[in-house]
Amino acid sequence: MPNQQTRDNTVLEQEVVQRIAHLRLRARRAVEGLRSGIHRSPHRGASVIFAEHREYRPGDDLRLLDWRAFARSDRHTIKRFEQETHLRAHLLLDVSASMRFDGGEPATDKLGYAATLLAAMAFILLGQGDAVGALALTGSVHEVLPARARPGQLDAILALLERAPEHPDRTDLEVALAACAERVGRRGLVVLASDLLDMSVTALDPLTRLRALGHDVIVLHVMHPHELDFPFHERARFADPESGETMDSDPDAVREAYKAELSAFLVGARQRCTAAGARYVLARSDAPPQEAVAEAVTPKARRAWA
Amino acid sequence: MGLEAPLALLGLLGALLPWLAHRIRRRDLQPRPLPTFALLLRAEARKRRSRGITDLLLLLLRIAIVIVGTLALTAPFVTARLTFGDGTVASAAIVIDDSMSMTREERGDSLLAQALERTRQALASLPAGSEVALIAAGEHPRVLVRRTNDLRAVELALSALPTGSMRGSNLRAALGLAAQQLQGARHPTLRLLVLSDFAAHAKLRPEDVKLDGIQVRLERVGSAAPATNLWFAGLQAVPDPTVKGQSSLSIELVADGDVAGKVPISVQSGGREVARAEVAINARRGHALVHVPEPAPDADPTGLVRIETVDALDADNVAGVMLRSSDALQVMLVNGDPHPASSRDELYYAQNALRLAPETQGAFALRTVDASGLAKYELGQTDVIVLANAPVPDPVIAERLVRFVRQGGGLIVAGGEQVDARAYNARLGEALPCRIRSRTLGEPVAFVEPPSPGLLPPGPSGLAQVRTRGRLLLECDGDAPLRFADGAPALAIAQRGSGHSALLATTLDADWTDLPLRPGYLPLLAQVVRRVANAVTSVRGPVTAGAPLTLGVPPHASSIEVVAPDGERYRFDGVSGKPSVQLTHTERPGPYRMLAQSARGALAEVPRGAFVVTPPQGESDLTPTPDVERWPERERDHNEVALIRRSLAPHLLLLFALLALAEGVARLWKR
Repeated sequence: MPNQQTRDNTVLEQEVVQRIAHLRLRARRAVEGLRSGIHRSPHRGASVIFAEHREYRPGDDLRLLDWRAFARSDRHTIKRFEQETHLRAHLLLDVSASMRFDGGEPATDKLGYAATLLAAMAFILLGQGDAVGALALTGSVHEVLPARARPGQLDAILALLERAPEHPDRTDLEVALAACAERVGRRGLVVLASDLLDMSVTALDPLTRLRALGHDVIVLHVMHPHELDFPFHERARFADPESGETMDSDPDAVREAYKAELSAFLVGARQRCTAAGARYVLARSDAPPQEAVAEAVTPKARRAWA
Repeated sequence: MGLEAPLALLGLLGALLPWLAHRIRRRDLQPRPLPTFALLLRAEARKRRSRGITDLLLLLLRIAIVIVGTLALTAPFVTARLTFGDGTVASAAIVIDDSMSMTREERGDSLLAQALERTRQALASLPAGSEVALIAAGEHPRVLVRRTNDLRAVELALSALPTGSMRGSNLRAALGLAAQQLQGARHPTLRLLVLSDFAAHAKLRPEDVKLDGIQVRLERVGSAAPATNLWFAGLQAVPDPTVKGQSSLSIELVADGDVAGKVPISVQSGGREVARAEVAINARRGHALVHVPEPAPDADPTGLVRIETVDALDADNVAGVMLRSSDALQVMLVNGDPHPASSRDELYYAQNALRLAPETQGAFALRTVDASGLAKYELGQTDVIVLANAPVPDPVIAERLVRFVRQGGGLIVAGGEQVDARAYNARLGEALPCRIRSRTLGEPVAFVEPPSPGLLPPGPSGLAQVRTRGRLLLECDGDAPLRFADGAPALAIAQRGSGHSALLATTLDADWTDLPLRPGYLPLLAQVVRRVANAVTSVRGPVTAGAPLTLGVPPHASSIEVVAPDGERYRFDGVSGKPSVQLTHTERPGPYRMLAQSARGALAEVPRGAFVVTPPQGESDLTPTPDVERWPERERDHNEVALIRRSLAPHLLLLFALLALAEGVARLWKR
């Protein structure tokens, strides 16, 4: 298990710590300038909706004593308010083999880029006191970090995102998202970072279910520039990172057809996300992450989870 | 076929190179991960079919390039047997017989077409740098291409040579032309190739082909076996004396070969069949007499007679004939004193005299009209107008008559009681040769004999015995060809404008004179009519096919069209003022018509303009001259062995370049 290996190996643990720090730095840079004005409510952490009275018990906050009730009934009662629920956000990271693609340029690694985007989102959400959890998924859910708003939650999330295990599974978004829908529970925010390379027509159907559960959904569609631009010229043997299948192809000969297929795929992904009520953001892994984050937290998006 | 460098065939192993390269390149490919592999898979599926064909084509082209290149390196050659010459550079003349007998068909092609093909083979046998002259041996022989080393020009001349020529053959003259062309030739080797059916009618002799310094080769085109043929030996139409408006057509056929029984023939005139008959052939000859309607005076006077059977030579199965005498002078007789009793009619003697006139000098086509009806007729179709004791025409008609004469027509005015001297002088004075002073009746007076030379044929004419009691007194400035005994002019002829007019001082009938009863009357009247007629007789007698022809230009014509038997029209514009034009397109046997157009008028049939072109005499006789190929002995020695090697490498290199080009195009296409 990667987690066990990390704990057992100090050198590796040290590397992970450094990578987490790097991720934190990148996430912080990504959200600079985006945080101010996110929250409009002055009642952070407290509710204004009255729920019930109960008898005073020593230790209760005297500020919560209902003096009017004491005057009427000569009993010390405490005013109880409906529990204020912080926004519960869940960050879903696709860790399938196709997300490991960097095209020979580590700086454009899709998985790292997706982790950065989600870390930035966590940074923002935790900064405004929301509870944030994280899940790593491929054909199923592999790691789960429950949503919390505690101070150490950011480190925990960053650690999960950075050490996201490598799974050779094929992407099965339908199954994975359905499993996530079971776990994320009540109304909240779900942010999915994936390359959506699951060609099944029902792959994104669970997004509809998430919306039905009251979640706001943001889909960060992470694509590598090699996938988008197809900058190959020499005849090559292309391989599917998930299935291992190979095929000899002349890039120049199939370029036009490939781009037509790619365009249809991207349009289809956007349409299916939009139809499910999710917000769709296409993110190139060689582009600055703040652009994708900014697009995700535009006023329209922010209204959903502010 | 052989190879100069057979070891180079090992290079064929190189044909495996493209395939091996293809395999090695596939094996060396390194896997390249691509997450969007599924999209690439779909794109491949979309492009696979067309790209598969392109790949296969590329592979085949590359293999072909290697094979062709290797074969070119082996220097392959073929051994060719030359059909003309021995492969050395030479100056050559090729004589092609394009006479009518060469239109005979054998094995689905005419002999002339076979000769042309043989000429192309001979040209292909000559090495580069050789000179060639091309001569056509049909009458009249002509040089089609002067001696040149531009064999392409010779090819073009071959293509332009008409294949339906109906010329006679004149091989001897053609050989002379060929020898002339080879004089001063650039190369020492001189060759002459003669392509003909060598029919006996060409009358070629062995000594004709002995030309100093020239290697002569005679090649017979077609089989040497005599072929069955039928042709016209004689064809003539004459007016049927027993039925008015009918012509008798005499047809004589000759058969060469085994022909027995009856041969069907048909006669066409004016575009429709007018008669059909059968000619019985006995002892290789047959004769038939066919009656056909005579064409109207203003209609096409020609007819077409066709042998309706299949024989060796189709070209001589058609012949043209003049169904109505085309060269007859069109004479309009204006009767000033008609009479119910024909013997007392004003024109009784004149009509008979002109009808009985001998046709050796041209016949007369007569039309008789009353003086009052003259206005109804178009004068342009008439050569001569005779006013016989006619009252002077009204001013409009008189003006037309004057214009008719000045534009080339002929006018004869004969005296009589109806002739008013003053009125004639006033209205027709410009057209008359003399002034008419008065009309007188008195003591009979005779003519002076003999008259002017040329007016009558030699011999007694009886003019001295003529007694004339009534006459017109004429005042003539010039000489009169015939005078009365008292010296007064009896006949005056003069030119007026482009035409001529004559004035006879007495009557044409026997009213004033007994001239019509004298033997000199008939030749005198016929000769006067001919002298005033400014008739242009285009062609007399049949014309041999291919012979150039001089056609007289009718007066007033601004352009001429000649209509050939096959409907082809040859036009001559701007002929006004020219005496004649030259027609060279007379290859087609049959009737030809001439149409003329004046500056203002429409095209109209020219009187005496039609003529008949007959196939060349003797061309129908296809009897071959035996053993003609053996006459030139030297050429036989020179052509016993004529094998050459022809390298195929240039062709292969060209193919190599084309394949390389195609490979480049296919590669671009694939991209």
